[in-house]
Amino acid sequence: MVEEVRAEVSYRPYWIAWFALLILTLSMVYIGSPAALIAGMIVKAALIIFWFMHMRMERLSFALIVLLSIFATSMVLYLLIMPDGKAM
Amino acid sequence: MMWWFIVSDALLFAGFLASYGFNRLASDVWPDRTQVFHMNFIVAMTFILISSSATMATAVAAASKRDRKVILRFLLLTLLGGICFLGMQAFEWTALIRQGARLDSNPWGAPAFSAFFFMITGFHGTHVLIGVIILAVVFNMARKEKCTAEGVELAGLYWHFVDLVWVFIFGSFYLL
Repeated sequence: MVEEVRAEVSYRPYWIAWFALLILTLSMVYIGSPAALIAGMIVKAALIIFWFMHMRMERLSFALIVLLSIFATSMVLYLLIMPDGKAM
Repeated sequence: MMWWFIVSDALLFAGFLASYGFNRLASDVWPDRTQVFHMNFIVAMTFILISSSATMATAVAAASKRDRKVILRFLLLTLLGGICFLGMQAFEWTALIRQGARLDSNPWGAPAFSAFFFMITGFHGTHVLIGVIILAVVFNMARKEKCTAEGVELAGLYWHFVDLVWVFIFGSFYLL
């Protein structure tokens, strides 16, 4: 967490991230490929987590605990369990 | 603590979206999203939520600078963005309900479609509503100069998480 007073903090990176999110969102509406859509969602999520939520300023070990726990569980859900729906 | 809440809540939404995906793959028929949703309207909702995340990030940065004027202005913009998103979601739900969509049935075929739609977007909308309440409290505290930079940052973390979840809901329901 960022607790100290940081007078030099700039607002600019947030608006660059906002613009990138906007462009990604608009391009995702027109791109029909599921693989490209999933990649777009992951890039958007990374922009939000690392820039807006300041994960890039956290310790690496903390970022790994948070991201790996979500990633590992999601992989079990989306790669092992969800595809079984096809066999139903 | 906020991060641990975010991890557990993220896994809850991951479970919801995985069960949605499972049911969608298991279903013989699935509605054509372009016939059910008005994409321009949904993109506008997404635009508002992304923009409110950017205004929230600006408010958090202003809080670390102790720039009260900017904090208040951007917290208010974020709050308005949240209220606007909720209003648009209520409008979208009303339109779908008027067309006959219910929790157990809908005019487009697969009953699971509307069940998952209302459950997942409703759960997300509840998060937005809670976020709006948190933002109103933080705004009021900041107005009275009773809010710490950490308080604004925690509210910001929650708000960005709500935006993060929408990225996946928007992708899974409205685009895929």
